[in-house]
Amino acid sequence: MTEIQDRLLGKLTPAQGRREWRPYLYLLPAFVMIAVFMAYPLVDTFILSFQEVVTLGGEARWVGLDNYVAVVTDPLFWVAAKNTLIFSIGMIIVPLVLGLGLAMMINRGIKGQSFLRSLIFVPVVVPIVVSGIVFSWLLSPDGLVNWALVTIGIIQEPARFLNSVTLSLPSVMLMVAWKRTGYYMVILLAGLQGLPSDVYEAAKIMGKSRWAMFRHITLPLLKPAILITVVLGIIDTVRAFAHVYVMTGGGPSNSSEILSTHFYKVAFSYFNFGKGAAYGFILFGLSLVLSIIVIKLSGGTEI
Amino acid sequence: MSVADRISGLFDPDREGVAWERGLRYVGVVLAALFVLVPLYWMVATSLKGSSQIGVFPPALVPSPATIEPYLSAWQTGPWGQWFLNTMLISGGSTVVALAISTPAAYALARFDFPGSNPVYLLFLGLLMIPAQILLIPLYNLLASLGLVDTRVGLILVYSTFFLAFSVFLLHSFMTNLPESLEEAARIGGIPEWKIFIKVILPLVKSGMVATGMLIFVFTWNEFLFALTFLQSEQLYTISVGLQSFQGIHGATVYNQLFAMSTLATLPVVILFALFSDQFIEGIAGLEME
Repeated sequence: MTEIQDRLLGKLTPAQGRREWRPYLYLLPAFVMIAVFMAYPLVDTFILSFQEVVTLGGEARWVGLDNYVAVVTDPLFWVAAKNTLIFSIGMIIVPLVLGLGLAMMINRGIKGQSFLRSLIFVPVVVPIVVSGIVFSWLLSPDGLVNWALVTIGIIQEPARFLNSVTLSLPSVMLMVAWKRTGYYMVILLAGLQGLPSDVYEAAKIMGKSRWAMFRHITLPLLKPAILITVVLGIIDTVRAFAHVYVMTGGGPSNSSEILSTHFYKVAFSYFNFGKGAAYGFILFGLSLVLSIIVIKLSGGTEI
Repeated sequence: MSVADRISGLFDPDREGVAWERGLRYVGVVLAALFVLVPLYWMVATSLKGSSQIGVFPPALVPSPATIEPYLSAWQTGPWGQWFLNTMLISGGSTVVALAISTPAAYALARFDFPGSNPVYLLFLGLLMIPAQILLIPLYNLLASLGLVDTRVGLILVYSTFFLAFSVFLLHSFMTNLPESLEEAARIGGIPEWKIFIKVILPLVKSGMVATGMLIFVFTWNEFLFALTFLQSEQLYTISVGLQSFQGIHGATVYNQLFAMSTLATLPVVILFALFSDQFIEGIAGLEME
């Protein structure tokens, strides 16, 4: 992260290497792949976003900014945007807070920490479709969660989590938190492990409270690690798809529709490719701008 | 020294901390472990229940009697063997292609000072930030014009490109940590550059390639959106697409079978992770910490 910041801010030049033509050769295959399967499609999307596809795979008509206007004047876009904002709490904030808490607990030396760390990481490798299916079943009216809640007496009747306008999105977020906490924990744990112990020793001698140490030492020093999780979280939030698609399909009545699933419907269910392309570019711009802001902010305020 | 060892040896303002605090820490971690385990347990438990134990409320916490019948009947309702094979071929192929292309690229970035190295580094960073699905439409058109829609090769090319940047970053961090003395010695010894890359660098970075390759394998094994969009004939589905179609067609009636296949789909990646968890975790952490 520090290196990324430095490179972004232009502080870092590549270290004592050798000047020659070979590196270009080593990079060539990567560039060819990227040019064909990323750059070209990216340009293609950009062009497509100003066109209306008249016949599939053929004729297109220039329509200027119409597609972009169509996206931002689509009320569903704003519903999805609002949901994405809420969804990012489950995608970023909850796993970040839980992950940080767990990382600190494990970091302070507890028995079997290596095993626990691995165990909490396991959901990261579970296929997203499987996670979605399992949580749908856990949250179904005759599922385990309802059984537990009814037995303890928190609710009287089994709730229809995934068919409820208010509960569908939080249900997906619960699964996401399950899946991501271990991921963030590992990143933050590696960050904690790099913190200098003498600073803490000094603070302890000065009689600083535990909270003061956390607030004034741990958090600032951990900032690069926290920020990279936020950047990854932003990118993944914009990418998230199967999470919603498998559990709720965006329903009921769009209550769990997020930008990426709505985008998919515009492009591939309604076959509105031009509008889909414009939608895609708005998504890309959003994640790029947010990520760069976060990285710049982190580099701008040196500790 | 593993990450865990290094962690436990570091600062510990709590070592003389009071017992109830330590107790609280255990409670927190144990709760987290339960939160992780319950869904996984429930998946496996449901997969071992006979049809008569499904859709019963309250649900039985332990399958009794446990039966592998759901596995057997599910296996016959779809071309699961074919789907597993497809996923294996696609993930394996993508991993090999991505590694083959990203290793030299990472080497160039980590070990050479050349005009444009900074922009190239930032380009790879930018690639990481492209939300994959915005390229779905043009990629679909591109694959169609190449005759690669609904083929495993098409998906392998797309996956390996999309995991390229990720792989370059990971390998880059492995390579910058390597000592340069061996390379220098080889250069002074007059060994040709291409031989240095193959004979000196590759063996040194092998463990990094294994870690990176496994992460790519797991991520492609689990990928859903591209597979859903680019694969159309049932014969070519990956496990994830197959599971999703199975869920769609059969609904709640055969949940035990759905979970039998979900368990099978999860098993390979969890086994891989169990075998190499340290490399996985250091890989993920290393990407961010470089």
